[in-house]
Amino acid sequence: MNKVSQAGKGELVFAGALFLVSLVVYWDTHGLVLPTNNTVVSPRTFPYAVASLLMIASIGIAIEVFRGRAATPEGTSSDSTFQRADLKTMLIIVTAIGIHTFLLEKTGYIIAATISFWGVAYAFGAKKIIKIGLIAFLFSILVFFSFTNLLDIQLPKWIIEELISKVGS
Amino acid sequence: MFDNFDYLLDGFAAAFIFSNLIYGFIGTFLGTLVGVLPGIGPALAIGLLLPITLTVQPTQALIMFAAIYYGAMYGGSTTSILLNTPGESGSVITAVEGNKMARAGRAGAALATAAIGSFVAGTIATLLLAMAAPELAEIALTVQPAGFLALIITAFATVGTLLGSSRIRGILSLAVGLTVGLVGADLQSGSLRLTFGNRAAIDGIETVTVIVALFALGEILYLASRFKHEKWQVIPVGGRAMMNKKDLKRSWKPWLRGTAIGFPLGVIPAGGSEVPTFLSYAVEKKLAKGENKKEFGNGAIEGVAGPEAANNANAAGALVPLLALGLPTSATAAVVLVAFQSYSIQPGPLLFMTNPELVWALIASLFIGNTLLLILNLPFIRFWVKLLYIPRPYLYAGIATFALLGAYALNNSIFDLQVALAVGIVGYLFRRFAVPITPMVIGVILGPLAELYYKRALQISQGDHGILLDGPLTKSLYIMLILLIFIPPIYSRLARKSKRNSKASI
Repeated sequence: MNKVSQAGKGELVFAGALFLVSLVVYWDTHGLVLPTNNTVVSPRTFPYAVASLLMIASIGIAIEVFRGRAATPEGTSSDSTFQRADLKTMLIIVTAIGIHTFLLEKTGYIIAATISFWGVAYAFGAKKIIKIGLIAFLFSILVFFSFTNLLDIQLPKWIIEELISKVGS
Repeated sequence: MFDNFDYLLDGFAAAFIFSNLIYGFIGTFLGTLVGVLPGIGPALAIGLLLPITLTVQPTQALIMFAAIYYGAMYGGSTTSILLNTPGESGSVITAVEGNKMARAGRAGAALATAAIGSFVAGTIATLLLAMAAPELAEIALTVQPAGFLALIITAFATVGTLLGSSRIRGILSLAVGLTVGLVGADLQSGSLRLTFGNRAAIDGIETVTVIVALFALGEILYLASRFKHEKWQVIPVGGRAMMNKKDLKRSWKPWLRGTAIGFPLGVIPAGGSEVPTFLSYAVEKKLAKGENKKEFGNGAIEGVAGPEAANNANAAGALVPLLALGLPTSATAAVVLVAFQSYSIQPGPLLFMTNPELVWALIASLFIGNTLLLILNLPFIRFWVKLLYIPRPYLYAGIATFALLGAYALNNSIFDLQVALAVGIVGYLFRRFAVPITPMVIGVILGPLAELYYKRALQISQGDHGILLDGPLTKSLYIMLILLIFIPPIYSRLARKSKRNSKASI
């Protein structure tokens, strides 16, 4: 057996997580409340099949890794040394999207979108914090205005949005 | 046959109404605009633009979609040639030779052969689509649930095993997609699956959310994880997007061959545009002679012309099973299916009978869109190229903003945004571990359908599983499937063995 590389270890965790997901599907399916009327096919049949496929596939991935055939990520060649994922950059983006999700229906579209735009731009190396903030804010207003006023798609409103809608109409 | 021609003329008449033409024009414009942006392929482009069409009439929305579909493909090839970041698997090959051509100062010729090749292939393939889809739909009317189940399983197997570097990763992707498809109330019994008490999950997971999150958020996270190592260089276009006589002479045969390869492989569920483009490239490389052959790997125009044509013909071919059977065979076709469904139109054999005017308006607008694109793209290429110079932070921030908007606006639901974030992380992990994305998309969409047909088949037979193998269609599909699964590994093992033997004999 080949020694499992650093990248391979990560992949084993990935496969393990999906294995757990398959167990959850089994458990959930097992606990399904069945309908009282008699159906020809139980609502359990298909989920059991899916869970089995997921389980087999995740075990298959683990076997691949142990055989020394860990994945080569997109856009890199197999001989280039594995570069550690830039977790900090990723975390900023995930946080920004998380805040967007949390705030959207509380403080309206514009503030939520300004924060997510700002977060992603900052994560990708835009340096001038105030300038990005301004661009993010104007961009969000533009998007809000064009979607609600021109395309008639309703987005969550708060004070700023009400103001814009008034000006727009 | 002649009926169809009449319908097609009616379709043109409908599409040529001024207001509809405007929608076609907007569609081509937006499609190209979004398609040019690096990292956005046609599937994502359509997913992102879906909210825009929500308030438009169905016919006009479909016309717009046809235009967006082809527009995004055009835009994608521009990006691959000038930036070498293919937005989707179908453009990978275009990027190989096209980018080399651009580096050698022949960007104009590469862009021109890609654009005109796409036009030629798109037009021929759309014509074939217009002929094939109604015929197939007529046959499909007789297909029983067991037959549809067999078709879906074939699509699963081909998409799952043909895409990506390893079969097991394709199957894993499919399985994850099927799992996502399970969430929500079971269609027949109403039993709640994998909802964990969350009321928003009862309706199931929105497909558009999954697609937008997988392609946009997943890609952004992946780029973020390694952006410090990436180089980013746009090759300036010298002169205009034009070909000379010699280029044309070298291009027209590859266009036609590419079309011939791309279309049929789109009709049968062969797993997206990866296979036909690679095949077309291999054919052109093999057929090239003398000086031209030496250019392969250093920017041969045949290597752009053929695969680009194959890619576009493939996209049109994928519309045949989509329209006639209601089965998407690529990620892009899957998004188009969702678009149909959001206007309560169910593609499939019945569509040609219930809404012929709609189908034919769509097919006619594919022709019109294709022509508009050629007009829009060749002379204005410099305008589109400017988009490549948007600073990366703002580009990705903009893509993320529209992705979040697209995920939310369909149902106005925060739950969809939570799903988007989770699926985005899954999309990152898939890229990180070389798991292909398309099988998951196909799994999410076709999984519930597979279960439905399975149940219907068994209801007809009162629970007898024999019905699943009943009839010539199901039998031949399953036999094909078994061959497809078992022949390649056996073949590669034999090839390895004979190689070893020949080495031993030396």
